Amino acid sequence: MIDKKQVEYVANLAKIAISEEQAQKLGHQMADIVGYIDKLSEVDVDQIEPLRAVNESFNVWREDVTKRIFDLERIKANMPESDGDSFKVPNVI
Amino acid sequence: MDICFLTACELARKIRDEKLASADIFQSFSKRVLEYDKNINSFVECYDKPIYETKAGSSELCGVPIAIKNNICIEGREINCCSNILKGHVSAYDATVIKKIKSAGLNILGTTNMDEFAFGSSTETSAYGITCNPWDITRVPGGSSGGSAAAVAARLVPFALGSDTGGSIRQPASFCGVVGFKPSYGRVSRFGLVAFGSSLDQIGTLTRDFSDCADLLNIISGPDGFDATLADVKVPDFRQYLRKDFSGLTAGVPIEFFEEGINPQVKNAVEEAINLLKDNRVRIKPISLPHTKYSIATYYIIASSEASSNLQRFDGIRYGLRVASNNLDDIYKKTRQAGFGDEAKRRIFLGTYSLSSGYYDAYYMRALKVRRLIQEDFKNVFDDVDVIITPTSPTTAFKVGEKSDPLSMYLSDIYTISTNLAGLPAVSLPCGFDDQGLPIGMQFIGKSFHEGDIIRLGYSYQNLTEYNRKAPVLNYE
Repeated sequence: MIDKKQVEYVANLAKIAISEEQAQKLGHQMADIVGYIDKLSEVDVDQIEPLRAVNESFNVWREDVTKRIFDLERIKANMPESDGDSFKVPNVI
Repeated sequence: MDICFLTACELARKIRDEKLASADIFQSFSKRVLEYDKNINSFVECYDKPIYETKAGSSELCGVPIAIKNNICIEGREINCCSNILKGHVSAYDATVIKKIKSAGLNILGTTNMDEFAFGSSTETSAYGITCNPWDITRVPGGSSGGSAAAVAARLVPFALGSDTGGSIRQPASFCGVVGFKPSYGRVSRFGLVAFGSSLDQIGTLTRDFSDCADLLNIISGPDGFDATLADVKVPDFRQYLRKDFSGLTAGVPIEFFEEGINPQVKNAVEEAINLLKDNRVRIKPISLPHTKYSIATYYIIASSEASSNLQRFDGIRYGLRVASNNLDDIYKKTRQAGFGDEAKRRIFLGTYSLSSGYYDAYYMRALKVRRLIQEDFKNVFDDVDVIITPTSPTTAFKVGEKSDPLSMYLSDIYTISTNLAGLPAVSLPCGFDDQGLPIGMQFIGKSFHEGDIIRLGYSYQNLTEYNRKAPVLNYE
């Protein structure tokens, strides 16, 4: 059972605002899904290493040299709010 | 409109022989999209003329049009993963695969519809509306690359690129009666593919046959210096596998994929196909993939966890939608509330929950361990077999709106999902039609970086059958 408090907690972590109604609906749907994925608890994973990358690749290095690959004008054109050159956001402090 | 019924290779030959001009071919397809796509809605944007110059003779497929799923970045074009949160976003760069297809002289016809952020198996969650299956417009084309699959099936474009995280190329290919190829993880650069599940995503191809598939894979595969997950493995010329030759192949048929839940007509069609292969001297062996029943749970924890992390960047700050506020936290929360659809929110929630303190070990870490067991299941059977044959999907195309319960949608991915978890190459190809005239797909899975085996088997099978040559009748009046 995923209760309203848990839904709100997860919504805050995920930074998504949700209404009461949405929280309730989501709680039910999440409960079904989580109930299903709980079947993984049947599996004996003792001594099994987690598989993080299918090809088990190691650190892939490159020279620490800058490369300009984006046209700055295109970046600026996507800014929701700007002063021309910088992204504009509300005060954080 | 005969031009539109030619394959990419056939069109390319006519261009090289100067029987057709690439500009005329582009126009023919553009016109066909205008005429028929209003009933299918496979394209988000269809360009009325080529968006860049191509150099004649750049490759075998020079001058042929191609469609691109709307999550692969094309410089200067709107790419928004069919999500409101990215509406208006114009890509600042070309994905590696786009750079490669431009160098190869292919003409991008437009971008195709998809489930929002590739979350889905039906192309019902796009901000641009649903895509309909050209074989029956009351049904879904599958997803998330439903637009690409439908467009190729309807001959609105000779071939297309899609992406596959849990079956998103193969399942729509199965529902639409086309060839959908997912390469091995690490074969094709993900640079410029908007990330969903970074350890699972692969860009792949939607084509009508294996010749087009091999040529397109040749173009898009290989290293680029931008994707650290690309394997240091030589890319073969995939065309060498286009030969009618079943010899030396042993195919495994996993018992777990033919148990309950599979539509009897799908089961029969795949079994008939297996018998045809047996008649042609392919050795068939029953095998077991014992952790199959855990693959959906494993996948949805890992994919959602990775998605929740990858989608943090959509926060109203640098691109796309911003819901204004004088408080940063509110910008994030309100933008993401307004910008993401329901399925996207569900995935993010599931992922955030799985990764949160107190659940991380029980869900995410445990799923990674079961993932290793699933990968080992495949490694074990690949000691004895070269390819694995399964149905692609338990059913043919379902009706629009039929799977309204999220969990029932997830469960329909059962046959495709484990290949992404194990990073293996796999292809869906048509092997029949049901009594409603809907395509049935079967899947070949190969060993890691052994795309050649499944290309050879698929090419040889298609030389014995006609299923991939049938086209839907687009008369919807």
